[in-house]
Amino acid sequence: MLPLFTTPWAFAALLAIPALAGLYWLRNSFRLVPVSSLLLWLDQAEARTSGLRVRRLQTPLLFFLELTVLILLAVAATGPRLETSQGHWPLVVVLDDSYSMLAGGDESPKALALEMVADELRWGDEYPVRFVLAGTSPQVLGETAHDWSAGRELLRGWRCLSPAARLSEAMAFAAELGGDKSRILVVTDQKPPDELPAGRIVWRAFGRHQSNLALVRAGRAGQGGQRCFFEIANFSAAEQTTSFLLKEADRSIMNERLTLKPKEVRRVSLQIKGVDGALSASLPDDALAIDNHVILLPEELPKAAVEIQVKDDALRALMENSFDATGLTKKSAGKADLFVVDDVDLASVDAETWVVQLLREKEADAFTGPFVVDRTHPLTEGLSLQGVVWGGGKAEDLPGRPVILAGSVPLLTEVENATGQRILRWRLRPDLSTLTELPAWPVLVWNLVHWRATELPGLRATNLRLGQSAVLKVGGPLREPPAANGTRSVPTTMDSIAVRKPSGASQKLNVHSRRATILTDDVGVYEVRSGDKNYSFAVNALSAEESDLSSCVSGRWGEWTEDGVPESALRTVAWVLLLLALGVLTWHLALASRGAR
Amino acid sequence: MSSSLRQALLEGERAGSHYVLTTPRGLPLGTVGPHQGARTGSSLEFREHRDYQPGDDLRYVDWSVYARSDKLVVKLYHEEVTPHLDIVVDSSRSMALAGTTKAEAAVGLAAFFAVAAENAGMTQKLWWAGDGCAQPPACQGRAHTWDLPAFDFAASFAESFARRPPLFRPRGLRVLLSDLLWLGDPMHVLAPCADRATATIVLQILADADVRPPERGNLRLLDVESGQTLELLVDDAAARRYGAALERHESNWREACRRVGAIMTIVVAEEWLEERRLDELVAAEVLQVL
Repeated sequence: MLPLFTTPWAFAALLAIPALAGLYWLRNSFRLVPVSSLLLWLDQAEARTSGLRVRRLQTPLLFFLELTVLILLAVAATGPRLETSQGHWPLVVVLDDSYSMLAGGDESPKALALEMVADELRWGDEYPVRFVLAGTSPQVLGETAHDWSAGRELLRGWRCLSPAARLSEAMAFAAELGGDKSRILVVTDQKPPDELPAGRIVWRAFGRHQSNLALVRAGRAGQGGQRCFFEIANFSAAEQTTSFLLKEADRSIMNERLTLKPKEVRRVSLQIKGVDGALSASLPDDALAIDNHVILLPEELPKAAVEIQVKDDALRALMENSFDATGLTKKSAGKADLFVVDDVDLASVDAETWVVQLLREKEADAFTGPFVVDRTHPLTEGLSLQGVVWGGGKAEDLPGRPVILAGSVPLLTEVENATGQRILRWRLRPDLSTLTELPAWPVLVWNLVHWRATELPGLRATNLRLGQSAVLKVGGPLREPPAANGTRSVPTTMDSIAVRKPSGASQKLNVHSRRATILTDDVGVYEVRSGDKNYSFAVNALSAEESDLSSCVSGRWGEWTEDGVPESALRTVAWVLLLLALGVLTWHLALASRGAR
Repeated sequence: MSSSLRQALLEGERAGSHYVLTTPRGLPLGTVGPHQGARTGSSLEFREHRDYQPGDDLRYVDWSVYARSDKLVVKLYHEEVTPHLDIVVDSSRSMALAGTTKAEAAVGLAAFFAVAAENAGMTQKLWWAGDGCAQPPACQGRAHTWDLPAFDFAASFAESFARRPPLFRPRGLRVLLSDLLWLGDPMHVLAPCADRATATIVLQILADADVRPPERGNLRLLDVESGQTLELLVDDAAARRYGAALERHESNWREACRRVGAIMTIVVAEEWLEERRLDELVAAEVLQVL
């Protein structure tokens, strides 16, 4: 027989409960109140005394006090030994989001950790649980979960595709997020730092030491990507033999067996002339699959279309030779990217064409310095004017922002107009100058062409590490050019680009200031569509720290104690219950008398 | 547009005509124009000397000082500007909460600032933050002639910004009119607002019902924006927690405003419609009484 029915006083108290509930049940009703936002009411759900979120029976506070007293008396009358628990504090689970958590396939730290979360968390107790992803920066994973089904849904977002796990930052963030009374559970494959704060953090590691060979660096360079290199690391404590396979589509370029000593990193470099497509390098499957494959796309800076219209034959020839020598230009067919000219009507030039206006003024001087150079400007990178004689006009007025001056006389100025078009004014009298015969000349010309080429539409890099951001420059003027009647320019509407991730998911991103930044969170080839143009870039998991599984461990560190830790034990609690009943009655009396007043 | 909103525009315009909009740190900035700006620029009025730093405009190097001391020193001048004001109005449903006058206060404040800006010789533009931020077509000219769309956006102000942010004019003043009652990082809205702004002013418009929670008892609270409901027993303790949550929310916004250099003030709609004064902004030198 149940202990309650062996004690008549307890039984009598129990009978009073449904009677009390029935009285209040009849009084239950709800009033609908529209509010601006539920935001400020959300934390009421966790309150234990009032503002209680209603799930089944909604009753005023007094009812709960009376009910509590009855239950306390009924239970106390049985002389119970109850299991006490304080495990209702919020729990914040910090999840290591780095890709080393995927090592081991079905027995990966991630899979083991998921089992632990399902088995060991006391979902039945309905304490709120939040998840924080520890990647390169902490990130909250969804809203608060109050049961396992909600938690399981949230944990689908735990993908372990980050190139690093900043656990310390994530723990600090979790402590802020959960508040003073929260408990923190860290789930990772690494051992904890030197010392864990007592009583608040439990650290669970599910890693294990495993041998792993990985591609840790890769690159492709040269015009058209004709050179490439790969670095293969052996992170095990024993010598390992592996086969390195390099392919372009289905065509094998290299298939070589490599024997690597413990902790050795082997570099493989090769020329790949005539290979224009994506290169795919791979190692055989081992403990960690993600670092065994690398895709390299051709890296090529777009060439700037240059048009030169200079009347002076010698200067024109000099300019043409100098620009050709950079290797970054192409002949202009139609609209030029860079227009070098000595006399121009700027209104007739396309808004996306940069103009270099060469000024050969009659009132000129040969300047030997001192030259004042704006070192923050892209045109002056690596430029030295030591010993240069620069011939040019000597008037102190020249439109635009000075880049190079001889004393107070601007020799080279630059201005960007409202459409984003840049206009450079370059004073140069070759007959009075030694500039064109000294090393400063090719530096200046190369800087000019390279600057223009880097501002052309397209991707700045096509091979990225996981977690890096891809930057796409988008063409088109910032604003419509001013109308002929002088009215103000009208801003163009905001552009957007479409991104297709390796997983097949699509995303639309806004373009700001002709630039779109794409965050990478998956490995493989991303496809980007901007207007009628398509671009691709590859993302690879190249992080030696994550591929090195030698420091992975399993274990449990720390305990939740004192503040908010469920420390289960059976204790005789009848006296506690009576004291509580007395306290609740006093409270009830105070509330009831206040209500009466 | 309802007659009460039309009346609010008229009253707001009338109240704003007694004020001039300015900036907290002196004078406004904008495109080149007749006013003297607070920043360094290219007018003829000399401001000060300081050492040259990489990136400075080399036109302003003082060559006479360079000749005497072999030291690069730049001369700084005041710039000349025509200031501009962008007013952004939150048109989410919570701004037209039934039984409150938040919508009237919002449009009244928009008219108030438009007139105060006009008194300061500034140009103005109104942005309606609904399904993306856009200029209402019939909102040119004097404020009392505006034909404003409805407050019917079923998501938050931040969502409106995320869909399509306003095309702010660089170096202008920006005024945000919203109840700021949504869950999320304030920086998602404040950062684009304060980007290249001379000053950003955030007015949190709350109704009396927002400041003081509803009556006690068993309530089914209905979120007018999302349609979600929450059933609560509201007693004094719950009301106190609500007050604390509101205070915490405002404190977060004030901290975010401080980080981006914005000025925030709280306006209770019913009180403002009675007095139509913004003493806090007058004290902060954002407004001057004519």
